Amino acid sequence: MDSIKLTLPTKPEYVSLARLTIASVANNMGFSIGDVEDLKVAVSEACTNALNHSKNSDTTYDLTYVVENQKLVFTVTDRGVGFEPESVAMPDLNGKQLGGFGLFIIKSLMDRVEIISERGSGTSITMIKNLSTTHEV
Amino acid sequence: MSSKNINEMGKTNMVCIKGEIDIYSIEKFRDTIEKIIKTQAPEIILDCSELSYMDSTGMGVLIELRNKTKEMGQKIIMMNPRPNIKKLLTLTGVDKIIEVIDSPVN
Repeated sequence: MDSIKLTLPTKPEYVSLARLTIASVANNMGFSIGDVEDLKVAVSEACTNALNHSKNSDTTYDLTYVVENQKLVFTVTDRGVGFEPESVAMPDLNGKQLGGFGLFIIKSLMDRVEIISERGSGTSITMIKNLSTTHEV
Repeated sequence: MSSKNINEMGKTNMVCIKGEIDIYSIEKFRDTIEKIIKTQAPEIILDCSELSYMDSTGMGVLIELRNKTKEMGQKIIMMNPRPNIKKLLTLTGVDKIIEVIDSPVN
């Protein structure tokens, strides 16, 4: 079981670095092209969430990858303002409520998602993607 | 993200969107489309052939701009989005409010 930890600056220009690293890890594990794209979206959404919830004093947030047998477990942890995951409403396509897409997408694309958040202390989003048994040629 | 080749095809304005749309590039994307909205073209086609990545940040702005154009009698059309982007458009239901096409409108 290999573990990788990155500490990223709370700056939008480094979110692409999260996508690059997860693509590299997932490719090495043998994930399909489609699954790699899904993983890139999921990590990017979680990093965007970390940036949107960061406090002025937060200069970094953490991203960890744990390469397990047949699955990739990755966690984005910030020390931001926190939120109540249950209170995030589904976005309204015709209205003004456009937030909430990120979590919805993460939950749709990943096999398992766990969110731990505390007001004022930060949020930790752990996502798990299983390595599919069907392989693309 | 970069954009170029803004062509006026009669009543249609087309812009080629390249690269990635995420939290870093989103304002550039918004500014680009808002400038085209100001031309009052009834149809705005976003050529997404060379757009490699877009996430919920882009979806949110697309919806916002679609709602704005709808009020002004304009229409945003996405052309040739790649499978990864098409998947997100379907997943979020954005493809139900923004027309997605595979080739230019004649």
